[in-house]
Amino acid sequence: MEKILEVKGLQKHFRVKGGTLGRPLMARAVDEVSFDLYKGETLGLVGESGSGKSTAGRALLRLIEPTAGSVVYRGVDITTLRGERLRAVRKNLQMMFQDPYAALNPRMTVGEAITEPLLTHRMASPREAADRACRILEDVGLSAEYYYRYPHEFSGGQKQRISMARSLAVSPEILVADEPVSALDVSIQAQIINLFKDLQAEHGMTYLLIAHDLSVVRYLSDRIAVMYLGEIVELCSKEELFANPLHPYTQALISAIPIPDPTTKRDRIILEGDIPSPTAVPFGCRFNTRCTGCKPECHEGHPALVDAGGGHLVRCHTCGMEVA
Amino acid sequence: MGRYVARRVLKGVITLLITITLTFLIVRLLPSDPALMMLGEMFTADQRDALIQQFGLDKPLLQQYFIYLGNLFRGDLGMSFFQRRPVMTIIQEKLPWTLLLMVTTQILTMLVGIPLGVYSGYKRGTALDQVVNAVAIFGVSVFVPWLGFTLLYFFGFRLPIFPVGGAYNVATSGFARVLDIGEHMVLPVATLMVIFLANYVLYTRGSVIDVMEEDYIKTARSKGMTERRVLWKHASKNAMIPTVTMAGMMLGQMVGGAVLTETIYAYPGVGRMIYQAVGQQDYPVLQGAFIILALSVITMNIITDIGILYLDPRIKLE
Amino acid sequence: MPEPILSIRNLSVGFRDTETKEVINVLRDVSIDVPADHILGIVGESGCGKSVTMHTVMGLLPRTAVVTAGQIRYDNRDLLGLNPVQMNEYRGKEIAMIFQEPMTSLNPVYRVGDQIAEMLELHQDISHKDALAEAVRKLELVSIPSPEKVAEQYPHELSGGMRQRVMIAIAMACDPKILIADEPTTALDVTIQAQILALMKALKEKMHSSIILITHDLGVVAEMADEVVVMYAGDVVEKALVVNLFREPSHPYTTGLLKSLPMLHSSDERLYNIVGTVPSPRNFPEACRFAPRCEFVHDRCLVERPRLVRIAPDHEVACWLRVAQGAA
Repeated sequence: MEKILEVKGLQKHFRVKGGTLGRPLMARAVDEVSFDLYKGETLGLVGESGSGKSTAGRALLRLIEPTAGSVVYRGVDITTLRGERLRAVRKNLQMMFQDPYAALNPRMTVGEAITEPLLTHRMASPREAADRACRILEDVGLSAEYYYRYPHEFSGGQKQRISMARSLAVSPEILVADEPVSALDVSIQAQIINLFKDLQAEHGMTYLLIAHDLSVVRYLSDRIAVMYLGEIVELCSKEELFANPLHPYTQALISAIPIPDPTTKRDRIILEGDIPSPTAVPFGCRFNTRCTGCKPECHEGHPALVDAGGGHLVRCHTCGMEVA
Repeated sequence: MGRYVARRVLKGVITLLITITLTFLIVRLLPSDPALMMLGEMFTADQRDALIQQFGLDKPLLQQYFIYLGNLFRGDLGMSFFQRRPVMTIIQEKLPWTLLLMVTTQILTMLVGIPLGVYSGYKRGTALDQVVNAVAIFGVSVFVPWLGFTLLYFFGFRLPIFPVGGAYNVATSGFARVLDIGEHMVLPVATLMVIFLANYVLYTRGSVIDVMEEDYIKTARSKGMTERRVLWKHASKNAMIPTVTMAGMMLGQMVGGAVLTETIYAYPGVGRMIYQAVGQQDYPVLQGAFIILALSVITMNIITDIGILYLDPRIKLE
Repeated sequence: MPEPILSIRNLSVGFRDTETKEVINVLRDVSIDVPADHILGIVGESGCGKSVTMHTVMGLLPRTAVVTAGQIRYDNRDLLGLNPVQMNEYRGKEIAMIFQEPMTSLNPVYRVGDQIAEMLELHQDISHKDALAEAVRKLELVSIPSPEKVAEQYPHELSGGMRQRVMIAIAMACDPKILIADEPTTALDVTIQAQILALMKALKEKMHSSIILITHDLGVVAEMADEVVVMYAGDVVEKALVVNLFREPSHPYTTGLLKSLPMLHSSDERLYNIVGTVPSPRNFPEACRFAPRCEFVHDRCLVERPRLVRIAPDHEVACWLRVAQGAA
């Protein structure tokens, strides 16, 4: 498989208010996130709020400036580009957001919203752009006759299709989708999930799917990265992750998903407490405040992300060993 | 809490210093020669020089500034050009009247405005709300001198219920004096209230309308309490936060209002003093008045901020 | 099945359009029985009327709402006929409610302890000091670490999960017979959701109260509920014991929902789509409200409204397909 994106040591730290004597604190929202993306695959990035998954998505597209790290797209490091060259590369990496209500400008017609990125990237004449917009509208399951309508005339699911059409207008190679279905009702969610699959089958899209809902991520992804407090704690194929989760956090996360079948009863791992603040990252293993299997070393050294065998990466002092 | 107040006071002191410096500079950089103004044409050059020396106007600007600061620190605001009396003494006579007027207005406005705003916001769309709204909008848009003169004409002159000017009748004493002072305050306070009440009512009304949509109001109702308790315990404290913030910001405007009203009602406060000092180009008085008013506004702002702190625990103390 | 302690009978609720003054019907003939000591799940997507139903029970409807028909029987009385004072004898004390957004459901300007104590003071003869002490015990009950400290804190100092625990502490303060939980974990992360659901279940076991759990999440229902009511566009379309509902979903809407869950399918299966969206109440169809989205729609569905019929013990469904089958 062809590697098209290589993210290495991506970091985003924020200054936040609230320190003693008014000194700013450092929020380590994203720390050392590294992964590769292969052509045509879907990589799921899961984690709870505060895990840094959305920040990571934004930082890698430079919607916010990363503090450190490199993002290499087909041999070009995006983090060092500026101006015209950045724009040229960026058209291959598009982002789609959770809230279809906020993502679309209410004063722009659907047609204007979709053609705008084509025109700013000077990829088409206005006439070509309009033709393309109509084709994309049909690709995302809407009709070309919506071209002159305004976003408020559409339902949530339709808006999400429009915002997807907008992201896809410039034919990006990679789509970073941040919680694309979490604002939608179950039946509408299924429509958008199917759309993701169809577009991948037809156009060979590559997705980075950022979501908190493991069942959606499981359904759509080939590989899954689990984030906790700014770092990836486990990364492997979907099948491996669900069959053999190694990190205690992943295990808890999987066991916490409510299963829509009243006949399955299982022992649930219930984590204590909340995710710590990114301004007060625990020393040692970051999960040590909630982990039930803590050993002394978990409070000392910070574990590295290591291969526990067969490309199954895990960041844990205790669980990686058992397999190795 | 203590640290927050200390920081707030420090900020106030810095603001005051900036105000002092600005007033100092503005007065010195004005084109007219105050000594000349004061003496008129008939004095000799010697007399003029003597006067300039007496007021220290011959020294370099920076030195004048530090002398000025030093004097200020000792409570010396200089001598009035016109009255030949210490500015501090003059202000000490005038300030209590203005403070009395402003504090009374502020308290009455809050006492009337907040409940009226809460109630009309709660009863949004009813006849009562529409009347309150119409009156409030009149208050916001009214031209202050017009209002002042109209009240004066009707209640001082055509229907002489209230005195037409001054703060008290010299002939009174004891309790009669207190009553008399109150009577003299009615028209100025009424004028100021019409202007400021509107803001209180409209602000509070707006925030009550927003607050009533909040989830915690639903929680309050689901606890099984009366609507009265929902409104006055759970909604109004939240709704007052923006109103009190606004009140703090309006204090400066209130001073402006005081100048106009005191002048109209010949009320012997700082406002009227400023009006007269402008006409007489009595710079030391103006300078002193600005500094004292700045000090009062800053102090009241600190008090409002502490009030908001009490109302809204979400404000970060650190 | 035990006697219901709360019985919603043929409830119809509409909303008055502020401009045209016309009443637009939302709930149509909703009948739901809540048995004692049970967890009843009410499922449906947004706009299906599940919250409106429970807001009617609590008397929390906005001013524009109009109850056009029905009864809510509790304690041998019709809650809809009570004046506000009588209603407050039940609200909070016998029937309590928690909401979806723990971040905004607590009053930001009062301490956590005071907000719990208030509930006790409203319904019991207790001094403020005793109520505060009792509030700390209630915080302990919902497993909040260092309850004395939390009682002194303001809501903004707590995490979402902690605030929802506080909401539960308030709701359970007077040992209500019924707890209505409106999407109590939707705004929370999945590990926190697991904590809250476990807590609700444990409290229910301990206090033998009933829980009405409103949710759009079929997974949550499957784990928590004993019985399930499925609502669509203001109608109850299916009612069943939880096992029956998942084993033999009978209304096309219910089956559609289950078939569209990514959880129950492997990646190579295409998810089922229910076509279209829930219409706005103004456009609710006259007969079967699900007809425009139903793949089995036939002539009768467009002219005549299906009523709930029993297709098995403890299983009712409102669909002409099932009636035809039952008759045949």
